[in-house]
Amino acid sequence: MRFGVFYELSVPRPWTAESERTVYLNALEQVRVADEMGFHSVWAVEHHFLEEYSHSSAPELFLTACAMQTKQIRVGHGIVICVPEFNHPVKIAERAAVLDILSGGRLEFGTGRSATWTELGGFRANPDTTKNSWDEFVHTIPQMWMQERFGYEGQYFSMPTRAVLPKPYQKPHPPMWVAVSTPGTEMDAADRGMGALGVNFTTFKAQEERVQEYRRRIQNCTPAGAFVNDKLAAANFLFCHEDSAQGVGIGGRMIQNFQYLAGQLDMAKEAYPTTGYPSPGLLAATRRQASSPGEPGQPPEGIAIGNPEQIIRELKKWESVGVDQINFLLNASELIPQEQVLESLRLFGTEVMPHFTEKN
Amino acid sequence: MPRFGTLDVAAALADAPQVGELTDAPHWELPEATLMQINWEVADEPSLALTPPACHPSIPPYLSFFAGRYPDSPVGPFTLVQLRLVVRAGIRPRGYCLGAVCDSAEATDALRSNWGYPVVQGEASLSVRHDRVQARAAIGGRDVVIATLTQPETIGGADLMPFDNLHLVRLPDGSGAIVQIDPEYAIHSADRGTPSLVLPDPQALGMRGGISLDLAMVGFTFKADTDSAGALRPRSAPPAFQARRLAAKAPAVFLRTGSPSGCRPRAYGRGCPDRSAHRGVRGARRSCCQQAGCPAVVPSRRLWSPRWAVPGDLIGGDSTSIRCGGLGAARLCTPVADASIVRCRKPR
Repeated sequence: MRFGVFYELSVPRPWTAESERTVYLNALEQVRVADEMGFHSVWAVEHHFLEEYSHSSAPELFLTACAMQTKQIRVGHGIVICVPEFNHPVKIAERAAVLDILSGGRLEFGTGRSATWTELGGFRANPDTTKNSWDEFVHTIPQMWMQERFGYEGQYFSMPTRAVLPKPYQKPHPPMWVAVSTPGTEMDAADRGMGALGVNFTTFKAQEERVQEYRRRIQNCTPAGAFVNDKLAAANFLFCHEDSAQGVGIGGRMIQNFQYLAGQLDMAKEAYPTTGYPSPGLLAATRRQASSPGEPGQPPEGIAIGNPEQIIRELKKWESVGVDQINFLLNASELIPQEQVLESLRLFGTEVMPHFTEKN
Repeated sequence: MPRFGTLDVAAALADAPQVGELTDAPHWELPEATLMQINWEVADEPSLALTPPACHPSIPPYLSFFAGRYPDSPVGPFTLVQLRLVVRAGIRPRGYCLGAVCDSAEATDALRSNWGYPVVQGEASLSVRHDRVQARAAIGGRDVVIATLTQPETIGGADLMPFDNLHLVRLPDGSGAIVQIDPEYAIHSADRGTPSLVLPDPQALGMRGGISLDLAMVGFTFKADTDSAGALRPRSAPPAFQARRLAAKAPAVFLRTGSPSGCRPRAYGRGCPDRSAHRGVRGARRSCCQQAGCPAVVPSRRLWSPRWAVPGDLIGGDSTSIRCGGLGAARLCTPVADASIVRCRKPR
């Protein structure tokens, strides 16, 4: 089991001239501490127009800053949107390669397709075809990286032969992931030999079944890239405090705040009838999971808030069902003061991480 | 803190429908209905002024035009054309009804007095042709809306999500409330197409303040057996955030309709011993009686949202939806008396 941190970069109203800068600088400081504590990776989402919920529209820039200020921690696109109205695939390949070079080969390349009408409508993307364009992108971008020259005639983009430059530092290319935003996408990941990023399911039993199915299918995959990345990562919340009540209380408020902001999103399916989004998406599942009935003073099952013992107990459950990595949201709307976030990270690093075998 | 609506509720209440005793509302079965919904993005600021302070605007703001032709109802056939502003309350979008036109005097009266539809009698039609579906509404011979869906293509019933209605109403005691109407749909067929929306007199449908159409989103039609929801039932366990907001900002309150069947049956109804309580209740075979003491009902004290609500926090959540087990069952909310009582603990 290894651990990462991930960022939506939520910026609460009222917005001032310093609001966004404060959020970004706080996040960078957290990443530096996470690097010191031995976290495996930092992930940043790509979202557009999602007021307050996420102001992370240029994650490659944030991740570059992370890479420049750290030594070991890997930097992850979590994810880059593979829809032509958002990003041309050549630009995705180029930017990712630069990030990989500048980070010294620390890039994890996460892919996805957006799940909100706010974003899809904003770019006038067709919700019916986002999975198709994602599929085309994830098969062609590795070729851009590996071939000296690349040309292509496809359904969602075409280009004459050109040298797509620079090439990634990692050879043959960085590990590839897929954001799992709707049930079934983890199987798309398995079929393409890609890691499944953010597989949050409602129960451990369901999780275990899907992990098993992912493991089975990836054995017979046709890799989209040059190699198979058979990792499963789950998203979670983290607030670690020596006092259980404070850990659960403060962490719980963070979860509630995240839920509240996520509840403002107009998911694609809500606004636009389409077979492309069979469910409202990962956020809904995350909200349900984080809000499941629990006993007073105890966190919901599987959520990493509380004291180190509680968190170890919950993370062991994730480990037991076969999840390889947990990526933690550390704050929401800057609800938790920065010092407490840093203390939580340090406590997690010293008291919890040693209980998990794989070196982060 | 997300934005809230800025509707002047006190002023809006003056024109709001007066409803009777909420628990007396009948339940109408409405089989073989033909329905059409068109979603259309609108300008931001004017729509905010039409959003109740107890709700958030959607991002982006959009209108949801909705028309239904109901060939069979207790008051005979009728056609209802509505213009709704999509708002966020809880974790689902809701259609806050700005105005509506119905072609039946009897239906108009029932819709206003039982469920608070801000509806007036006029001419309303919904015509289905091979290549298009068109809804028209007129008041006093003057068109107020013409909505058309062309190039229909078949989609699955599970692909679409009709919104529940919110109505601002005046209660018998003179206070105001926002009522949620959540009909059920058994969808037989559905089509999606290219929408067009013409509003010759938007003010007549409640589009006050110069609200303007922006980006066409989507239109769809479907045939379904549906209902009128049922009697309205106040809730005693408010989602904490909204209760706090209501107490602070708005003389409005959420109520929910009485049909229990929207709750996920396996999450909510299993184990109810009193099968007789289900008789005559729509969806009873799939739900429980919801009576106090029924072991099938999840006690509200087990919910997280109320426990973690602390006055002054930037937090929220829709505990009702959690209680019911998911997105398909989100319901609101609370009687006036409880709106000022946030069920929470003091900050540690």
